[in-house]
Amino acid sequence: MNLIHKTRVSNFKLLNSSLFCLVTLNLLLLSSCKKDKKNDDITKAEFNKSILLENIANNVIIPRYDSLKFIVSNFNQQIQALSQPVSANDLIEAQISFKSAYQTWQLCSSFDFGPAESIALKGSINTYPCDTLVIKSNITSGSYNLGAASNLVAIGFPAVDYLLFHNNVNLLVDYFNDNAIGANRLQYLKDVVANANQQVELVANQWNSSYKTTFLAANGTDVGSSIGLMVNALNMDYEKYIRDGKVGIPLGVRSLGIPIPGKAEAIYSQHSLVLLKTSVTGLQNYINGNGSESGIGFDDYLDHLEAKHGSELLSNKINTQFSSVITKIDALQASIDVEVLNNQSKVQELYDEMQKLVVLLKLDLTSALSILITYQDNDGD
Amino acid sequence: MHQLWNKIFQPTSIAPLITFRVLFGAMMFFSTLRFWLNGWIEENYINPNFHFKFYGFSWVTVPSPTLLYAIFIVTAFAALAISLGFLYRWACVTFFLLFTYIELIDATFYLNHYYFVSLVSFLLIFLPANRNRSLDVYLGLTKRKTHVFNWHIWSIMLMLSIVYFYAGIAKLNYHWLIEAQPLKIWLAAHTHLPLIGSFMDDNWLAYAFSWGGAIFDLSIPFLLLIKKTRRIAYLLVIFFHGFTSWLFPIGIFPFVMILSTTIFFSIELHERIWKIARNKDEQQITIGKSVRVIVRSFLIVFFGFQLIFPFRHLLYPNNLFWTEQGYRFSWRVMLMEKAGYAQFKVYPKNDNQYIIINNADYLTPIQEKMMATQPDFILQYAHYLSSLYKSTKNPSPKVTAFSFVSLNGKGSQRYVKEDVNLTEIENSLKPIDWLEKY
Repeated sequence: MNLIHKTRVSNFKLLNSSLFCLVTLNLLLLSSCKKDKKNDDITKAEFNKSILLENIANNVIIPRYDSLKFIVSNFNQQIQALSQPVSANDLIEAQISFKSAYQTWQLCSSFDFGPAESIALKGSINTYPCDTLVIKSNITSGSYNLGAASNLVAIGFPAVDYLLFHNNVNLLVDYFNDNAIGANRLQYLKDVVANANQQVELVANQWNSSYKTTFLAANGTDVGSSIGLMVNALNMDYEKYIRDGKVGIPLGVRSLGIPIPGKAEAIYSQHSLVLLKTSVTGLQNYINGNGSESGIGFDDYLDHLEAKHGSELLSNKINTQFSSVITKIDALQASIDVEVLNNQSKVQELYDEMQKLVVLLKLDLTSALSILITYQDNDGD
Repeated sequence: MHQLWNKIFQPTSIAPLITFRVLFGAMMFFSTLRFWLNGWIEENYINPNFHFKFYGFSWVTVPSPTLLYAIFIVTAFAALAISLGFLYRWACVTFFLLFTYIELIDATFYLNHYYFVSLVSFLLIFLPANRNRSLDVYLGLTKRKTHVFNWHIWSIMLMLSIVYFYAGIAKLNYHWLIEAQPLKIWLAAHTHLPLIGSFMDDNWLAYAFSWGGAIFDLSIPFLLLIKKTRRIAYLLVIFFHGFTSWLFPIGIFPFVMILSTTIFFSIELHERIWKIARNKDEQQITIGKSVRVIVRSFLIVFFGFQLIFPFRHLLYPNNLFWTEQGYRFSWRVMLMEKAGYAQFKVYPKNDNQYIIINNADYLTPIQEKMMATQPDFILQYAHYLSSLYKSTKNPSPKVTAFSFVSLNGKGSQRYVKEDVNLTEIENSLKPIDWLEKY
């Protein structure tokens, strides 16, 4: 899991190529485990939900949290080691670490239940766009409570994205070394990263101890069951945060088709496309139960239930639709905030494909597994 | 038939009616409390900004929170008063009106057994269930009686029988009998259960439960009526409702049915429970001819409606499960697995520029879920969205839906026709033509 590149780079072109390395590495990591359906047939007798839960916990969720914890912790150490005067190299190294940390987070954002939900990890790690006015005022005052709800827009990766990136790296260096405010700015960066690190660590540790037992024990399909929690959380993540947050809202689906690039993810580091692709492929692997090796996932559960979409296996249909979404992501070149302005129709095509996947996940998958898609408890008859 | 008509005015023991009054009132009291304690008053009625309505009842509005809580308090006390037989008629009228009013506020929460509760509490208004073992008698507000007329007991029995039998008729369809759907999907989700878990995804079990359920519903009223089979029938009632209650989130409905069907028990048993000995003098009671006419007319109108209304879906050419025209108020209980997804586009300015609506901004999760599969809700919501975005320039903005429904495991299919402007469609009882074919 060597995602942190220790190479010295001094300009953005190099940075880009290093980013490319990161992406390839990640894609390798993620796609190495495309599963061969034929070798993986589960006979009816073999399948049970406990095997599914065990594989998803041990092969997907916990390794992802572990690697997030590792990467964020390294990033944190790197940031805490900074001192004035800050050099351009310091910042560029920090930027690289940040990007891989942000990218790794995308693999965990669908797990918003259990420990993550109880400390509202998602909100504190990735609420965007960040509010630069709040950040600036926090820096100026030098006193802030990062746990306050009003500071959700001033912490997490989006805040670091703002603090660590600028078109002109030298200007950024000046900001951090500024006589009046530089020390505060550096301290704020350190505090925000430390805060994120602490939260991630908390959740990762819980998954490695008590919560794993809880997770494996809740092997039903009712509202509080682990399968119920996972399916609800992944649908919420896909529909609200991936489709709407990363693509739809910047595209202008809530604003009469007028793009709002400022609402895209990672607008300062400009790597929203990588983040988007990571989250989509990450979701697909999660659903298929694939981690470092392929395993039992929701696809196998669906096949076991003989879930169909028309005449086709639902699991196939879902994976085909994932491919269509990924194809449309690959058709984009720049980051989302740029593409919604220059290539609106292509982003629209992406949104339309993503929308079809919502139907398959929220409707077909959920209904086939007989899971209540509701966060509200109520009677039926 | 003529004989039956005369028999309804023959005297019988009041005891079964006392049992029913006490149990029904108590259940309604606890179920009202449960509703409150679950936080559903707030979640279902106060939090939502928008409420779905039943056709013809759009005039029912949600009261202020304080008034609503007051209504629930009064409803709970009315239920308790029914159980205790205190100011019984007033309690019945109050309970019937308030309970029904609450149900009419938002059609999202429609449940067949709420409809059953409304109907039964309406019937109770006309039944002298407070004439023994009641506070009314104890306080001297009414005279004690040991007899009532047969129709007083029979109307409750008939109402219960209709619920079962019609639920059974509703199961006689291709999905249920031939495909064993939706049970095939629902049961397979329970493989984690102890003992029986390993059978839950077996096809034969889904078929056994589907056919067993249909036969149970169709035959149970008769099995309960016949003395010889009554004991085993009641055990079946307990097993059937107990089992479904264990498997599915169906709230208090199983208990309502288990306790209500005690009215089928023998008169002697009820008399023993309440220590009521029949007063021979009352057997001579006669009743005026005009009263007989009124009672008979009432029974004909009330039960005639109950018998015919559930078949109104036959007036529609469409697939009942798909369009749901005539689906409610027809004892179609746990009959299909239907899930939907609907996303709306509103065109406030012109027919090209749209806003995609985030349903969570206007609907609670359960409202959104219910809306996505029920055409009249989709239409009401679309009209509501249109009204939110109207302006002097554009008084009725166009609204279209991207909507899919999956029925009984068939996979998602497009539901609302893609280009239909929902703003232009009136909510009516006419056959729906703006949905895709199933």
